Amino acid sequence: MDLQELKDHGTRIGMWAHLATVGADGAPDVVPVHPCWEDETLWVMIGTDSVKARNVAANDAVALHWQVGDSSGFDSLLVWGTATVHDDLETKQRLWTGVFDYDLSGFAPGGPDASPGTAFLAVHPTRATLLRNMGTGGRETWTK
Amino acid sequence: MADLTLAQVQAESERFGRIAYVSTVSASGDPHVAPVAVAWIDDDLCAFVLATSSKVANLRANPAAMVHWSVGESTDWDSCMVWGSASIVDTAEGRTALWGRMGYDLGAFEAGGPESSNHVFVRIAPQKATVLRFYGIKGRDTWRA
Repeated sequence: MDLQELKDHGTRIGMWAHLATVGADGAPDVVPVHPCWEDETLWVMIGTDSVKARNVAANDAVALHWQVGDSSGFDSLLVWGTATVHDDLETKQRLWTGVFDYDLSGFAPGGPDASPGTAFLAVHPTRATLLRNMGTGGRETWTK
Repeated sequence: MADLTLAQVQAESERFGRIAYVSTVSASGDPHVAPVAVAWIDDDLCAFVLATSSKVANLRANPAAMVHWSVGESTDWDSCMVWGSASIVDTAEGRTALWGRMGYDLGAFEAGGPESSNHVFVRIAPQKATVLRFYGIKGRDTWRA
């Protein structure tokens, strides 16, 4: 698959993905996130003091698995890559409208200018795999 | 924030369904996450998985595991999370002991039954658990071993 097909599969499977990171102590963490694409970057709104922010500062490797379910035929979409945390005002102002498909102000009422505890995680995908029906229906891959 | 007992964590987890996301770390330090069907067996959280899966390889190198159940509107966007240390049950004797205790027909996934070495059980001994209410906005409850 190409990058656009990867994005389309993510949209089809659903809005939730489970993001895995690794702490400085080597411990895993996984949390559901609502990522949105901007060109080749997958953005996630996060808290500046969240475990995932701390983990990425120590180890930038991430993995995502879109939430599986009956409505998407139990297809699995997996993305691997690296991530960076962005809490600068310019990035927050740019991302606040037009990139995400939900209202960020519902979670950070202060908006980009007055939400100091809010940051964005940029996931830079390097490879992805789509497993159809838990892999029994075949697999497609993408590599940057 | 309230304290939970492990029995309360187990009861809470039931409302999130059978599918949870288990995260592991490879020998090279890379994260991995995969959905698994989980069930509590005694005090441990268990999953029946392919012996050759990445999660099994990872857990053999690093037994730390974290599990996060699926989220959704039906559970008011609550989260249930368990941290623990995993062991791999990969003997016929061990598989036989767990075979009938997962709550679903493992034979549908492993026709060879518990004698087959194609599948193993991941058995996570929990060390900590947290339930977040509505993304944590409505509070959090925790348990520690």
